[in-house]
Order: sequence, then structure tokens, then C-alpha cells
Amino acid sequence: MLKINNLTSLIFILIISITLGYVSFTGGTETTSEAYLFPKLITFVMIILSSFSLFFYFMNKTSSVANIDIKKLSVYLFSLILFIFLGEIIGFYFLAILLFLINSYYYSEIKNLKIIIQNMIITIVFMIFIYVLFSIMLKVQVPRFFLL
Amino acid sequence: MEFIGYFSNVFVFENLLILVLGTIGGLLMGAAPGLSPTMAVALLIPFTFKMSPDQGLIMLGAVYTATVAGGAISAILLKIPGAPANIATVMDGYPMAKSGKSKEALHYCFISSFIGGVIGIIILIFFTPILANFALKFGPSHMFWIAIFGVTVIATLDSNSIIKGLFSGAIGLWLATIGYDSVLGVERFVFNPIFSGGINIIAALVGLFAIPQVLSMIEKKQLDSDQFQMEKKSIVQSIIYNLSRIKALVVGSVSGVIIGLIPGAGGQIAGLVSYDQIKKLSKNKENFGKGEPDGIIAAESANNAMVGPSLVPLLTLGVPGSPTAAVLLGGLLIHGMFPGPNLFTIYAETTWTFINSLLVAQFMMLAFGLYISGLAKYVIKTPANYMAAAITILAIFGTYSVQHNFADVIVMLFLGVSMFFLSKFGFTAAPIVLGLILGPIAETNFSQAKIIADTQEGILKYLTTGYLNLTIITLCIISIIYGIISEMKKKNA
Repeated sequence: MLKINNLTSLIFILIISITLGYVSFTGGTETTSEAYLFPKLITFVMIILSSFSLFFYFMNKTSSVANIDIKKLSVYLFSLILFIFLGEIIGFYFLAILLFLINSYYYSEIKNLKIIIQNMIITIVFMIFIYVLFSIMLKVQVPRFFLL
Repeated sequence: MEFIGYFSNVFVFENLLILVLGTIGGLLMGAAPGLSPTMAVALLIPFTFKMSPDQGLIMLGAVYTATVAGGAISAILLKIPGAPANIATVMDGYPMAKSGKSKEALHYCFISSFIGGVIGIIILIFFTPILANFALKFGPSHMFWIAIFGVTVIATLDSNSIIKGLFSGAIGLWLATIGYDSVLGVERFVFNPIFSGGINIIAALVGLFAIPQVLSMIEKKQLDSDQFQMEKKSIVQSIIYNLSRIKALVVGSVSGVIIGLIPGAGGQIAGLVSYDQIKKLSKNKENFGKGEPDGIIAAESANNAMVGPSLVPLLTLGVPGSPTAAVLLGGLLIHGMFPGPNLFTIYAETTWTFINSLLVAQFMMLAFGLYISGLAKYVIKTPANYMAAAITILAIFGTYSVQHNFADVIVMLFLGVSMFFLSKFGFTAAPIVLGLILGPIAETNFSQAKIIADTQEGILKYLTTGYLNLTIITLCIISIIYGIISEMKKKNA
């Protein structure tokens, strides 16, 4: 279980605001500075708001901790990372089948052969629906690997 | 009354069939998270090439109407707005579903959408010239403030902390500046070539709303919807109750009509503004956010009442009233129909057939929507593990299909996972999304205002003078003060 204090998040957003402020205020040349006027205004407001958040945190002294069950989420997050890195190489359909099978099995409360077969049937039916909707009806050319 | 003469065209067998298919397809597409009305209409435009102008426009109009209403299905049952227009519906729709009133919530949604939709189309038919003149009064400074007002409204409504809400809105506005500046054409903040086109709004919308929901579904290891039951609810009872909520219907429909007429404002602002207004006018303010039917009625009547008026500036001036109307403009142009007086003279038959079909589509949307709400139990009984995998795959394919760009998928997943972590600290997705949608409107109008103001008395004076500017600025301030007071009340309670 990952525990993050509210103060950490407030410092993080202040850093984000200052970073975005830095790139907005230092971006552009003399001739293109007009294009950076609106981002400058926005980041100025962001820095003020994040400073206010920190100020009120210390004024109220109300500390809260966010719990994130990283272990439970790991398989899903890993499948997303897999999709990002291999999506264009291995193809959408192959990876989508893999994503559906792995996640539906890992996050299922009951794990036995019957569930595996059930998951496979549901995966096939769902992927046929996706294929008909996107590849046949909407003519979307997704990255593919051989037949998938 | 010229339009009556063209009603028979809608009831030609082929046209009626297209209308039925468009409505059912639109409802299903709207219900699928990520398939927004803009995306649905954009994806269908290539299919209309092979159709006659009448049929093509009937299809696009029916899909536009039905997706806006259908988006409420996933908003109510899954807490994921099917479209930006349904963001406000989540606030009371999902709590109602959680307390065992999902069918009732869906009934209110379709009945209110129907009432708002019919009012909107009647406005489109009868008041096109008059209302188009009013919308023309909005100059760059007014549009800039309207965009800022949209962000402040959602920042105060959808967040427990006004500061975090406004900060989220500001992040959205900043993200919208990535890519080319629309007025000067300067490339900004493109740290990687994949960002040269900016952040795609559909990718952001899908990522920010769908992925955090999937992650919390998995984290809880229990589908929220498993917790609630689908009750038995008579449609007649729902209609009677819905019609008795006149205040919510009037607030929703009037807000929808006015906002629909403002170019670029769109359904999301209509839904949120009407929700904000009905909450302020209601005697049961404390029930909002906990499953108050008036919240759904006002939001849904507003986002459908917006559909008709959003086409007024489009058909008369070529200025789209919503992002979907902008896509619809493409549908008109591919058939050689240019907006303006010609639409009501040379192309009168096609134009009036299209407008009349929108009216008929409201009745179909009501009938099919109410029928689908009876089947919604099949959606909510789907186990979390299947739902999580299915939503993710739909989100990935749906995002990719917009511009066939894998970078959009990466942005969608990155924003979604980041939003999940941010939500743990009280940040919400809606202000970021609205900032992204309204960012280009705010910036373009700000830049145009500056160009005009530089020849006069300066930008500050230009933006803060005139009754329209002052009215919108006052609304922004009221919205923020209201948010601060609500937050203080919550803390004291």
C-alpha cells in the first residue's frame, strides 16, 4: 500500500506550477512573445492557487493521507505500459486480447478452469464486436500484426 | 410555417429507416464511454458520402441528438459521462443509481432530454433569424469571459475544494495551449513531435474520465454498480413526476437554448450552468450531489435543448454553436450546401427535411431511450473484471479512431493514470476537461481582443467595460463566492 501525504501532493502541484510558469515565461523570442501571453497569465494564476493551497494547509493543519493499493493495480498498469510500448509493433487486436484475458482472470474472484474457459468465450465475443464496430463499420485501420 | 410542407419527406421509408438506425446507434454510441457526439458524427460523415443530402443529414442529426441523450446512460450507471454534455448528469444520476433508483434516473433523463430537445428544435424552426442576431452581439471579449465563466462554474461545482477546482481548470487551460497558437501560428511547448497538434480533446476526455474509473473499480475489487439494485418503476409515474418539476425543466431548457446560441459554448456548459442555477434556486440545496432528481432534469433538458439552437448560427452564418455542430458543418459542405440564406431558398427542401427530422428524432429518442433504460440492468450486472477490460479496450480503439494517431492513445493513458493519482488528493477531471475544451476559445478571443484593444485604450479596459462584459464577470465572481461559501459551510458542518 502506497501512502502519500496531502502536503506532498501540494508541494508537487506547486513545483508543477513553477515549472510550467518557467517554460511559459522563458518561451518564445521577441517576435513570438505575444503567443506566450495567455500561457503566462494561466501559470501566474496556477502559482497563486497552489501557493494558497499550501498556505491554507498550514493554517488549518489538517493532514490527510491517500492510500493507493499499487500491488492490486500493478497488473492493470503493466498491461497499459505493454500497450504503450508494443501497441504499434505487435498490433492492437493481439494486445487487446491479451489485456482482456489477463485482466479478466487476474481480477476475477474465482480462479478455476471453468472461469478460464468463460473468460476466453467472453474475450472472443467482445473482440468480434470490436472488430465489427471499428474495422468493418467505421473502417479504422489499427496497427496489426499478421492476421491480428 | 414553410417547414410543415416538408414533413412528409421525413416519413419516406428510407429516411425513416435511417432515422431509426441513427437514433438507436446514437443511443448506444452515446452510452459507450469515450464515443462522444462529436466523435460519433465525425466518424459517420464518411458514410454519408454515399447517401443523398437528405439522408446524410438525417443520419447525422439523429446521431447528434441521440448521442447527447445516450451519454447519460453511462453517466448514471457507471459514473463515466458518455459525452462532455453529460458531466453534470453524473453528479446526481450516479448517487440515484447507487441508492437503487437507476431506472427512475434514466426515465428522468430521457423524458427531460425529450422536452428540452423539442423546445430547442422549435426555437430552431421559429426563431432562427431573431436569435442569430442576438448571438452576433457576442464579441471576442464576451466570448473570452464566457469561457472563463464555464471553467469557474465547473471548478466550484465538481470539486470539494474551490482552489483545487480552479487549479484543475487552469491546468486544462494550459494544456490547451500546447501546439500551434491559433491566431499567430507560433508553435509552443512541443517538447516532443507527438504534441505538435496539441492535446486531442477526445483523447483527454476518454483518459480523464474512463481510466481513473477503471482503476478505482479494480482497486475496490468490486464494481460499484453491483451495490445497487434495478428497481421497478412505472414510466407513467416518471412522466407525471418529471412534468411536475416545471422549475427544473424551465431552468434547463432556457439555459440550453441561450447557451446553444452562443457559438462554441456547447452542451457541457449548458448542462453545468443549468445544474448550477437549479441548485441555487432549489429549496433542497443540500440534496444536490446526493441523488436529487432536479439535478438530472435540469442538466439533461439543457444539454438537449442546446442541440437545436446550436444549429441556428451554423445554418444562418456558418458559425457552429457547439463542437458537434462544427463537425456537422462538414456534413453540409460535402453535399455542396453552404450556410446562409441559400439553405432556406435553393436548398429549402433538404434544410427543412433535416430540421423536421431532428424533431421526429426527439420522439424516437424518447421511445428507444425509455426501452433501453429497462435493459440497463444487463449493463450494471457486468462483473468489474470484464467491465474494466472492456472499457479500457473501447477507450484505446475509440481514441485511436479519431485521427489514427497512436500518440493520442499514449496521451489518453498517461492523462488517465495521472488523473487517478490526482483524484486521491481531491482533484477532479471535469474542470481539466472543460479547461481543455474552452482553452482555445478563451485564448483565440483573448488574442483577438488584445489586437482590437491595442488600437484603443488597452486590453484591461476593453475586457472590463460594457454591460455584457460586466454581466459575465459578475457571474464569474458570484460563481466563485458561491463555491467559497459552500466549502465553508461543508467544513463547519
